[in-house]
Amino acid sequence: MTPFLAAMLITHVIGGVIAIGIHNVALMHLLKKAPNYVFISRIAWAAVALYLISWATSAYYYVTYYGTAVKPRILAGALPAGHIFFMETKEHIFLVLPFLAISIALCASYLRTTPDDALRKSTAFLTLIALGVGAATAAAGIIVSGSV
Amino acid sequence: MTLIYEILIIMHIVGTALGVGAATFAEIHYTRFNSDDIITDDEKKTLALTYTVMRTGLFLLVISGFGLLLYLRLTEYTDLLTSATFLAKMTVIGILVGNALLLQARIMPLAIGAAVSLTSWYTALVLGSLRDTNASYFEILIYYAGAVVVVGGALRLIRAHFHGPKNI
Amino acid sequence: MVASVMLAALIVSAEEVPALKDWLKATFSHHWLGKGALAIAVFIVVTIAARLQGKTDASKLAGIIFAEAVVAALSVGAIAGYFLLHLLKFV
Repeated sequence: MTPFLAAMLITHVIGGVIAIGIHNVALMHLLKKAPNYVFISRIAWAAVALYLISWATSAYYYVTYYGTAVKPRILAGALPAGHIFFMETKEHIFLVLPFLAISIALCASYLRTTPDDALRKSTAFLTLIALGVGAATAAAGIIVSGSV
Repeated sequence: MTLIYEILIIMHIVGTALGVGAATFAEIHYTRFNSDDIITDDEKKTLALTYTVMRTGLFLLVISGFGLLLYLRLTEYTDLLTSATFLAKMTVIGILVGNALLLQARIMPLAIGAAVSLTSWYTALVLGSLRDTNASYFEILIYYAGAVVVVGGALRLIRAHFHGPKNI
Repeated sequence: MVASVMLAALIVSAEEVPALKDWLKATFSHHWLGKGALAIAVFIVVTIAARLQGKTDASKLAGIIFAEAVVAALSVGAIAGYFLLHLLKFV
């Protein structure tokens, strides 16, 4: 693996993990009766940027390196499910995350100007789903790396 | 790369120290502050600061933890990532975060949530220190569940000692 | 919401219909990039359409966002379920 590909992988993982952490913080704040929507909207947009960066770096790594250098090793190794299930699931459910993140950020921005309790609760629920999908993606990534 | 590994380990240990320490003092402070059924503004600020330290510890732990996983991946030493002890530790961390969310949402009763939080922090510390055990993933989680019950009972007794039983 | 459903349908279809996967690869250089690009396009189009139709006041938004969360969870479940069946060789 070249240093550039290693940098792509590191950026993908750390960017994604911080974005997941941001959604955790956003959810904790949205569960309050009177959240600070300015703070939530700012961190939510930061999560969008981080997910897009994580998406882009993973795309480069996946398209140029994973398919030819990593996937065959996993399939030939002790845990082929690492690719057949965990990587296949991860690479596809990850496609949903940036859109969830954008929706959360848009809602948080809207709530800054028009606070609404029903929308706050719905946004909290959406953030919970995004957090769950993000955590599942991260967990799958750990399994995939362990399968190499 | 060795320097990076040492930095990540130090960051991980500092995060653990902050998190376990803060979790311990959160329980000590809450038991003491709530002994008269009144939590003053100053006491609330102290508790808030303790939780901030705990979250800081968790942040350091997560970032350094994933940094260490990346280091293992890039140096091709990936056996740890599928070990029972490591997977159990990750499960306990997940329960810790989920418990915090349930407490925030007022879905989890404080008595149970406090026991889960404190036990989870110490379990993560112990599993991280032991590195590898002969126990299977499910055995470790059974021990963990038992520890939650024991810690919950102990916290209940301690709070009763500083408080009337009806006010726990 | 629509993008989630589209993704789930496209992902399963591409696995079951090799010609679709080949088309995605030929058009976007990689099937995964194709799925992402189509999802982005659908998301932009539906968001603009919803805005133009005026479905963005708070009372309607709360319901739409809740539905989006449910649909996203179901889509992710469907995607994971499909690949689990694939692992167990049922599909």
